[in-house]
Amino acid sequence: MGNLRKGFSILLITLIIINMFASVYAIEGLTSHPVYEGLISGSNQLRNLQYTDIANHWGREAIQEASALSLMRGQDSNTNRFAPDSNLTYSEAIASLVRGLGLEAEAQRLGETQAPANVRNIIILSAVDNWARGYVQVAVQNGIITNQEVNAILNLTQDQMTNLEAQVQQQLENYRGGTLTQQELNTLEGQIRTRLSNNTAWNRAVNRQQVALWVARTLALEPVYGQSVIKVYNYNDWQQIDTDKLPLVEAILQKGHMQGTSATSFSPRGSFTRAQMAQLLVNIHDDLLEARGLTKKIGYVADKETIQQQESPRLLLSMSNNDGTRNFIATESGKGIDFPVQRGTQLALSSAVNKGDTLVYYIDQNQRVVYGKLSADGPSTIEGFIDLVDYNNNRLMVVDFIDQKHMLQVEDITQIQINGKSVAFKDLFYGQEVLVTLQQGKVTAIEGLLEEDPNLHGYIPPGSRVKVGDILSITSLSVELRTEEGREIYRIVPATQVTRNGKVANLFEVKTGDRVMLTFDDIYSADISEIRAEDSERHITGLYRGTIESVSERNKEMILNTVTSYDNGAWKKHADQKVKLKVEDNLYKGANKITLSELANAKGQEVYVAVESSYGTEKAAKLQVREGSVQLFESKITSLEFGKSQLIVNNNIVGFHAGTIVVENNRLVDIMNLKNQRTVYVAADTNRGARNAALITMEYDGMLKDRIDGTRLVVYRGKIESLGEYSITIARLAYQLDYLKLQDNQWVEVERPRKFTMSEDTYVYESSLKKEIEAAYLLNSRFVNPDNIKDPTLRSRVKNNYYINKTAYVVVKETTLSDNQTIEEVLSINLTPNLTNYSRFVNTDHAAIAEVASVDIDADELKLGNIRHWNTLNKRWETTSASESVDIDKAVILINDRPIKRDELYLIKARAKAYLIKNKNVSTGDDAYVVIIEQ
Amino acid sequence: MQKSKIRRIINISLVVILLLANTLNVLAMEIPGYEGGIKNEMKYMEVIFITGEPIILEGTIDIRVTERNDRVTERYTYKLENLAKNAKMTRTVNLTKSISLNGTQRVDNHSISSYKETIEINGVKYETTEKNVQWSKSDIYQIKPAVTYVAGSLNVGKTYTIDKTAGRVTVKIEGSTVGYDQYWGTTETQILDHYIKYETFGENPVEWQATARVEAVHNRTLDYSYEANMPTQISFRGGYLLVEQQENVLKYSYDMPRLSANGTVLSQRNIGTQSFSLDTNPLNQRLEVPSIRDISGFWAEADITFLASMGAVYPDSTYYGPSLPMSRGDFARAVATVMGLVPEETPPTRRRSVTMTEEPKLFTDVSNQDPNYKYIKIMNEKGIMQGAEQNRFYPSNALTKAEAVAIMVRLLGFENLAPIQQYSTGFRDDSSIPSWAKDYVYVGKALGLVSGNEENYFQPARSLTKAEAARMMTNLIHYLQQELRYDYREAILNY
Repeated sequence: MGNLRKGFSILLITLIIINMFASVYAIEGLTSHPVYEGLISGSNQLRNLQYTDIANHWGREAIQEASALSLMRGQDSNTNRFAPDSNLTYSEAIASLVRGLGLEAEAQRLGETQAPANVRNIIILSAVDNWARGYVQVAVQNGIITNQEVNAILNLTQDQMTNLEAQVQQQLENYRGGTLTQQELNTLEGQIRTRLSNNTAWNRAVNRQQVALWVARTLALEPVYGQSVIKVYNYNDWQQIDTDKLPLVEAILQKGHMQGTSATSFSPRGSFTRAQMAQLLVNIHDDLLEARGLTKKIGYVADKETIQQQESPRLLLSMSNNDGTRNFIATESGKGIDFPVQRGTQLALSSAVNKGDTLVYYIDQNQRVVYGKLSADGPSTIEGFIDLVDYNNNRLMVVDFIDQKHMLQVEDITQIQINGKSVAFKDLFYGQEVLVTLQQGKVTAIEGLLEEDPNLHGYIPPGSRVKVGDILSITSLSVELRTEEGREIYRIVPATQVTRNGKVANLFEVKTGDRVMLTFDDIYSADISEIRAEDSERHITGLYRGTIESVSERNKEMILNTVTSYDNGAWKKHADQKVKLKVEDNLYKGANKITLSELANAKGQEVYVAVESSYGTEKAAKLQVREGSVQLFESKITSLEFGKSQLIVNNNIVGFHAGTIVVENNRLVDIMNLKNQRTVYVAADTNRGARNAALITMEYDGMLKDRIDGTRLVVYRGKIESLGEYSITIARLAYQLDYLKLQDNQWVEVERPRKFTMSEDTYVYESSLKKEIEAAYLLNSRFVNPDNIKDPTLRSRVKNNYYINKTAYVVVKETTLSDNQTIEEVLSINLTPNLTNYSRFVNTDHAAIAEVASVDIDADELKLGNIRHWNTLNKRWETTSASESVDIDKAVILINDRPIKRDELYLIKARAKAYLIKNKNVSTGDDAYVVIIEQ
Repeated sequence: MQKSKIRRIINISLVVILLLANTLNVLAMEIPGYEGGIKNEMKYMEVIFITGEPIILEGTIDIRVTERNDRVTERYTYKLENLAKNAKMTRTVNLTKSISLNGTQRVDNHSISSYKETIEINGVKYETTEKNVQWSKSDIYQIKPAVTYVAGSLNVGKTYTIDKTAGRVTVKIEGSTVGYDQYWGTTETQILDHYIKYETFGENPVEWQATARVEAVHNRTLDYSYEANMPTQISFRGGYLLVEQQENVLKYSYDMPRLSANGTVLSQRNIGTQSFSLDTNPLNQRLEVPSIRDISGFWAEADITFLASMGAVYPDSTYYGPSLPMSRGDFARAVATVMGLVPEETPPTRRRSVTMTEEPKLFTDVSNQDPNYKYIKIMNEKGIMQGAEQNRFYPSNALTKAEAVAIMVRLLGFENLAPIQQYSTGFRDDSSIPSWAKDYVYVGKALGLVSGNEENYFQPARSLTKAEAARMMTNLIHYLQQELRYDYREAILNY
């Protein structure tokens, strides 16, 4: 039972607490910070402060402030005058100081209790008169004024007494002859006398030293004696200050609350105006806060917002105070809940406060804001170097340029920037030059300065800007990529480095369709720093035609059945019954790109797929769903029109589109790379009369062509006429047969003997002896001794200039420079002294292109597939279906323009492209003499 | 009295363990061991070169990790074989790892305490123990709001005896690791460069040298797909499925001698490159079906539906309002959910008494009861989204494009990749990009996370609609799934 009740009460408490929070949430925009409201009749208060006679008065600001803080009042509530230049009276001075001590209520209560009973309803002594007595009594009790001083004030002169008595009798006359008894009249007379005498005594002007004395006592200042007395001696008239008052006058002067009437006089007996009193009260007010129960806060207005409510809009000021606290000030001027705000001399309500202002405001014991003052001062700044950063306490020591140290507390709201960029406090560092902005002693902004070097504007570490994309087209000057963002063109410059597979490569080894990574040295440049080409990991390893059996969107896989694979112009059955491929995107149905789920709907349809090997797993690089019946063509493109998206092959018009799979050099390439006169294999779909290419493979046509970097390989066949220092001259082969140059796969005669430059790097092979010779020996250089040649036959042949007038194959690399000058460099020479039978009519040399299947190092044999032989009669490549093994023991071999040595055959990779020059020899059959490999 | 003290101690130790567990599991890396091997649920594979030809071994690996304070002991036990090559291997490695944490950075230093490896190939025994093994590895982790990055360096020297005294094989391995871990994917790439020197003694000594490079990549990708329902008479048309799958790739290239059948060195070399993958079975997780109806046929329908299925946008509401501006508070929720930043909520424990210890307010304008509160809290804690001056978050303000790109770049921790000093982002309205956002915009553009409009204006102050924000989130997911993986796998292995 007891437990139950406890449980219930806990529940209740919980509910109450939740409710409480809920209401706070609803009202105050969810804050745990205090909310101070304006005064209940703040709008009226403002009206009372708008005095009519102070518009251009010097003391306007102080008068308004003293009035708003209820230290002084206006003279006349009808005309709302303040009478700033009237002399301050004793009673006004006492009343103001009593108010300053927060004792006004007590004084009024005291006056009220001592008020004599009225005679009938005749009010002689008003509340003001009674309260005045209270003020004096409270002032006496609190030591502002002494009894002697009170008596001195009340002590009237004889004339004043006579005058007073006359007035008493005159006023009493008004009440005589009525129904009042004598006793009542006596009482009335006493009251009239009290009032008039008090008025006369207390309404006299107070002098300056008297005010100073009272104020000093109000503030409970210590009297100053002896050597400490300094200030009063600045004034020539100091001797006129009453002796008993001097120590406290000095105290007040030292505090700076009062000054003299001029630089040289204090005028202790001079009069004091109401405006001066207002100023004095404002000056001393900070010392009176505690007594008055007021809290003064100085804060930065971080935000000002208006919340629309049903009754009246609510204004919410978010204050961030100098003491580190935060709070809100809420006003509802529609309901009169507000407080007066002074900006300079202008008075207004809270709506005049703006975001970013610094507000000085006073909160009373009822948590209401009674008055606010907006600072009219601008911000101040400190410029210097950071001497210390205290990251834990968010403090900063700044040494300015005159070696002054400033300890600064950084606030949450402080805006910190370095070179105009917003940063966090932790980004400031020791030694940094900073400009600190303070408002009301509070750090509002720190601007850090860093020296900047215009040369480093926008600097990034070289090579750190990267672009990845597929090459759409490439020349020696530029490369166009397809990237995630679209098509982009970048510049190739002489400094551009090319790497493939992590090794430096020739530019021509970068092919259309390759995926490349471009790096740049700075953020704006289009000049490529490095081109890195992806190696064979992404090459097209197969072209399949098969029927979709299933597609898994989840695993991004599909299974094809009845798959055939394209091989050298024919579709051959795939070894597997079911072929599983990864598939993601690049899927087309006709010209339209389709999604994987749309492909899933094409089950049972036949597709063409270009397949790449992704780490041992086959993946569809591009897929085309077959539409209609298939027609296959293999021939040269005789007409190509990109505008119409048409080409003519074998006299058939075939269209192409974005979905057409185009393959060149084992790479998927853009359709724009189709070239007229290229031999292509086309699989076209005929659908509703239209014939569109689903698949086009551009057949390999040899590497003896101009390459993108302006280089080409040229093969010559001739007799060596002479060997000079780093030069070789070749000349006619036989009588009536000039030396030959391989041009468009045909040997053509060249008339004039030609001298080529050689170098130590020129690779020389003696194919009849199957021996390598260092180029220097062949040239019979005086720097080498032919006796060092190990092989005796070779040694004697070299010594005897045996190779002069013998035949050789010479492989030359030609580079056309930008000024159309051509540089020729002999890469390799195959000395063939055994080949002697040359005739104009029977050419035993012929060319073939193929793909390397494998290398048999021990047998010096290349196994080739995809072989095509050059038919010299009809001038085209002719497909040979069978694979073939070719002896290469007589051949010079170049891989990517680099001649390889006999013991480097292992460098030849499978699937490399090869160009072979073979010579039919009656006795040995087919021997390759030049093998050019690109891989 | 005594009892309560004990309880307190227990509580404290529990907390310590939890904290520790938290710090240690910052990165759920799955590269098994440090030998360049890969594994899936069933088997482990690695390649060895010491005989002069690459041999792929398959088998099991058993990893035991014990954690005590900031020291971790790891025990690896390998049992591998290759039947075709008649090869067998056992290897037992004990490592100790000391961890030093400093804010968002963590350094792990590994050292070896014991090592035993025996390989038997065609009856020839290759053996090594910790006496002949030099081993050192150190990793640095940098923990960014949504992604943790790691880079490590490894150096190993091993000397194997051949049939005890017949010869020896010296292997030097220099390795480096680089990786990242985040909600949508993890990739760790290990590159090991081997130098191998083989010598036999006796009558016909054989000596050869070889080099090899092993690149092992572990990748985990979390992907999603829409699974439509077959029947039409079902209360929901379909729903999203999260699929997590691991793809482990081993690529090795070698430059080895050519050896004759009896082991003598032939002329020329044996070079090659091989790669293969080992995938795990996909792990499926169905997502709840959201009830949003007002986006059917909308261009961003798929993106919004997916985000709602994740709980990233209010899934219970029928209305989404795709063309309304995205608020900062809602975006905080979307990002925190999609990036998996919100920790699993612990079930509320039994309350002893009602002590309303109200959490101190994070922002003056975000109530603790705000449905987005916990998301805003986590986004702020991680430094991804910050409040404005005066501790305000402005949760209902519309999210601007500049803010969105800043959030994405901060998630990835890439803010330092921007150029230094003054530069232009290349947008035509570069001058109107606020200075605080410039680095983010540059990086966002360089990574392809954001772009300008057709006229190449970035429009930093334009507020994003909810649909645009949803598309931006799914683009970020794709970036995290694929682009990052490309940079850590393909960009290393394929070039």
